[in-house]
Amino acid sequence: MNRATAERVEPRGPALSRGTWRAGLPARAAFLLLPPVAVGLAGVLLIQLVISRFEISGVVIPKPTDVFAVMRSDIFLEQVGQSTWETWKATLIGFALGAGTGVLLGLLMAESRIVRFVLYPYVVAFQSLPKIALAPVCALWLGFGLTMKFSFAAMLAFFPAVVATLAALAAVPETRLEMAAAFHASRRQRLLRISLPSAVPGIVSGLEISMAFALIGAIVGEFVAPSAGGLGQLLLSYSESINVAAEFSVLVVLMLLGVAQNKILFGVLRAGTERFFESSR
Amino acid sequence: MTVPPARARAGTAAGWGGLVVVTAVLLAAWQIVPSGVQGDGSSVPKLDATLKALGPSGEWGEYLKALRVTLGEAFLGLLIGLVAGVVLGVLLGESKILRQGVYPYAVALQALPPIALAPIFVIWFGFGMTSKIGLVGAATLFPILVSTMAGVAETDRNRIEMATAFGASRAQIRMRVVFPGLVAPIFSGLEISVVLSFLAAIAGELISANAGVGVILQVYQRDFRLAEEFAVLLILVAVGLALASLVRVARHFVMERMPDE
Repeated sequence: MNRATAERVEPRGPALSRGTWRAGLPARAAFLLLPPVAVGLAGVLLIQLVISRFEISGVVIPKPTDVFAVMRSDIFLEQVGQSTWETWKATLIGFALGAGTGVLLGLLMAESRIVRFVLYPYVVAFQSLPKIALAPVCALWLGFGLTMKFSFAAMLAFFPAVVATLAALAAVPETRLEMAAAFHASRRQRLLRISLPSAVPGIVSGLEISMAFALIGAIVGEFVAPSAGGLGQLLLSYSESINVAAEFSVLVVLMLLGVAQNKILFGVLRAGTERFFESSR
Repeated sequence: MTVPPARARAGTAAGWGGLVVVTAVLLAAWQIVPSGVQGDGSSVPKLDATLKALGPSGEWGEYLKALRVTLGEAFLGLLIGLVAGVVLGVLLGESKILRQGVYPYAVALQALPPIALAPIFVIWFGFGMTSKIGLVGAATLFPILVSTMAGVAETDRNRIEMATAFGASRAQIRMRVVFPGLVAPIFSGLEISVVLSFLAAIAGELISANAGVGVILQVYQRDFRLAEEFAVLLILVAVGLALASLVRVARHFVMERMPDE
C-alpha cells in the first residue's frame, strides 16, 4: 500500500491520536458505544418478543426477563459468588504453576540446542493430544478436589506458554544478537538486556492464551469431578433440574469472568509491557 | 550467528544421541517404576501392559467404534462451524455498521469457554451425537469467523482500485479480488478449529453421551483398566497429529492450485 492510499483509507486513526478531531471524549465514547448497545437492546427485545409471541418453552430458550430475574435473586448471587471464586482460585493457581514452568522450559529450550532437540518431539506429541481427554485419569490420580482442578488447569496452561516463549525468543532480531556477541556480552547480559526485553510482548500474548486455557481446565475439571464445586458443578446442577434460565445466568457470569481476565486484565498487561519495553529498546 | 558446519553436525549428532537416551530412560522407567497392579487407584499401567492393550489383542473394536463416533461429531460440527464462520466473517468484514454493532458480542462470547455450553446442548439435543455436533459447531465457529473477517479487512486496497478502474462490478470485485484472498486466512482459522473440534467433541462426551472416546475413557477409568485408558490416549495423540497434518496438506494442495496474483 503506498503512502497516499494509506492516508486516504484510515484518516481517523492518526487524527484521533493527534487530537485534531475536536469532539470531546464523551462524544467519542458515545459514538463507539452506540452501535453495540443498540444492537444488544434490539436483540434482547426481539428475543423476548419472539418467545412470548410464539410461546416458546423456557426449556428451549429462557426469556431475557427470566434470566435477569434469576441474576437478581439473592440465592443465585450467593451461590454464584462462592462458585466463581472457587473456579477462579483453581484457574489462578493452575495458571501460575503451568505458565510459570512453561515459560521456564521455553527459556531452557531456546537457550540450549540439545534440550530443544530432545524435548521438542515430546512437546509436539503432547500438543496434539486433546488434553481434555486426560481429565478422567487426572481425577483418578488426584481425587475430586481443588488439587485435581488446578493441576488440570496447569497442564492446559503449560503448553501455550512453552510454545509462545520459544517462538518469542526465536524471533529476537539476529542483528541485535550479533551486536551483543561483538561486545562480548555474557550469556546473562545478553538474556537480560537483549533477548528477554524483545521477547516479553510475545510471551505476554502466549500467557493470555494460557490463562484462557486455565479457565477451561478448571471448568472441565469441575465437570468431571463431582465434588469439585465451582461454576462447572453449578452449571451441571442447574442442568439436572432443567433450570435453563439459571444456566444462562451462569453462562453470562462465566462470560464476564472470561472478558475480565482475558481481555481487560491482559489488555492492560500487554499495553503496560509493550510501553515499558518499547522505551527500554 | 553462523555455526560452522562441522560443529553444527556434531551438535545434531549429540541431539539425536540425547533424544535416544532420554526416550530409552523414559520407556525403561515406565516399565520399572509403576507397580503394575491394576485396580490400584494411583497406579500407572506398565509399558508392556499398555503396549499389549495397543497390540492385536487390544480392544480395537471398542477403540475404533468410539473413534468413529467422535470423529463423526467433530467433522459434522466443524462443517457447521466452517460454513457459519465464513458467512458471518464475510458479512462482518464487509459491513462496518454490523461489525461495530455485533463484534463486541462476538468477542465477549469468545471469552466464554465453549465447553461450558455442553450442559445446555445436552438439554436441547439429548445424549446422542447431535448435542456434540452443536457443541463442536459453537466451538469452531469463532476462530474461522475472526480470521475470515480479518482477511476481508486486509484485502489490498490497490487491487480493488485497479479492478474498479477496469470497470469491474461489485460482484466481480468480490469474486475475483476479495474471496480468493480469503483462502489463506480461512485455512489458518481452520488449523485452530480442527484441533478444537476434536477437543470439543471429547469434552462433550465426557459430560454426557452414550458413545464415543469420552465415554470409553470414563468407563476404563471407572473400571481401573488403565492400560486400555493409556492405549486410547496414545491413539488420540496419533489421530491429533494426523488431523493437524491433514489440514497442512490440504492447505498446500489448495494454495498450489490457486491462480497467481
